[in-house]
Amino acid sequence: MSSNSAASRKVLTKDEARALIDRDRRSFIKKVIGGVFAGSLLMVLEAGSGELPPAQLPGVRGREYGFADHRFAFVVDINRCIGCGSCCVADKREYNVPDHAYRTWIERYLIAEDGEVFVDSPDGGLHGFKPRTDIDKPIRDGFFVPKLCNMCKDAPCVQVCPVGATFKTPDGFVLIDYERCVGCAYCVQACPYAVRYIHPVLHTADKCTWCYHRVRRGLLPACVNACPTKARKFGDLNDPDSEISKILRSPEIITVLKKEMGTAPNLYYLGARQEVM
Amino acid sequence: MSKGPKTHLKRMGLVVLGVVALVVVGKLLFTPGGFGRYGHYRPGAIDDEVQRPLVHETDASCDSCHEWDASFHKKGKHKVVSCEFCHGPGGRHVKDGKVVGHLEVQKGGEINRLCLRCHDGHVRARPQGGKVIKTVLYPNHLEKQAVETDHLCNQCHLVHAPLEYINAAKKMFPMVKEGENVQ
Repeated sequence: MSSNSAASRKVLTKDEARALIDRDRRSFIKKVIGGVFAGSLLMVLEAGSGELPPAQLPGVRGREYGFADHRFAFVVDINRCIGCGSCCVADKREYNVPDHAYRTWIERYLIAEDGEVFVDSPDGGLHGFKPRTDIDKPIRDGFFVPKLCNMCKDAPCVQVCPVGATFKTPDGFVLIDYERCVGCAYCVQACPYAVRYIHPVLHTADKCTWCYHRVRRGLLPACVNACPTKARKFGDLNDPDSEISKILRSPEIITVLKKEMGTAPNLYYLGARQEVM
Repeated sequence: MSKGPKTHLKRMGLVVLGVVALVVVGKLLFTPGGFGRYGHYRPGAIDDEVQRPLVHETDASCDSCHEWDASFHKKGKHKVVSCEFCHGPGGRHVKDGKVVGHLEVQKGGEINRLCLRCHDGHVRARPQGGKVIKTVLYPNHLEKQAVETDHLCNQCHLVHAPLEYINAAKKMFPMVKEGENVQ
């Protein structure tokens, strides 16, 4: 330290000073050139890293997200569901959902000629469906009903949460604050659609979020993206050209589950028979 | 504290003040920042959810590199089947522009299992009429097409475009109809 300060105080000769300036100039140019290259490389990496696939939902990307600009809704077309379970597989992977817990699942309804209703959902439809051999009655009607969070406008789960860990965002999503949730399971009991469960690892409530993280990136929910028959549809009601808007303004019969509960779901069903509950 | 006629009231007042102070301090300490901005919850929870990493991408992400596969997949009937359903999520394959892992390529019996998830005609409850899904009865379909019953689906059907080979064969042998063996 002392020798350094002594050297810096040493009076330089003219040549020494020039050499020092030249060296500095050289290193300065080196640094500039190096910096330019490094900078351009950084830009390439920046563009490549975290690059998103093309937007699937118009009007979300490229501007500040306005909570009031969107009114998202979900439509399930029962007449198009083939019970393949792609949605369940996508959902399980997207959220690493533990076994025997389901954010979304598919129910198989078989209705006999005499009106008896058979419903089953082996492993939530995660591995598809095998033929049912235990029914020896003639079957009148059969269909699959995918289930997921209804994103109620008046959600019972939000009302009952004692710690404000379940809430409704200004853009209409019912989400969970995993930091605040104490896992009391009051919401699990309150939900009329049984979409909630207690996560065995997190020890908090968990449920379908309509892939809020994907929607905010302008992408469709994972299940909608995976559905091969477009039985699951998702879109913005504020966009009059979206498929969702067109369906909900069409003369098709549109129902919600358990209307009498007064929860006002944002999940609509097309082709739901009266036996569906 | 002098013992006067109002001492007990003063003591009571102190206790009440103490409790109020405790409540105020407790509320300040335990209420998360921004609580109540949008409603009775912590607004940061929305950002937490938004920050959740993507696991699935879209077919467009896959197609940007796998052009050759996409050229078949995008033409055939299976263009509606998401790449990631059979091969696994893109997030396990590419991260920050770099390949971080290899996805599954389905082989053997797993091919049949995957095909029958959608096309098994024995499963009632699937939409009828063939407009949404064309179902087959397995293994009757193989017998009808006069091939060995232990054949895998992908021995006739290109999995990415199931009618690619069938249509090519039909072009080469215009007389061949469904149910006839192509030698």
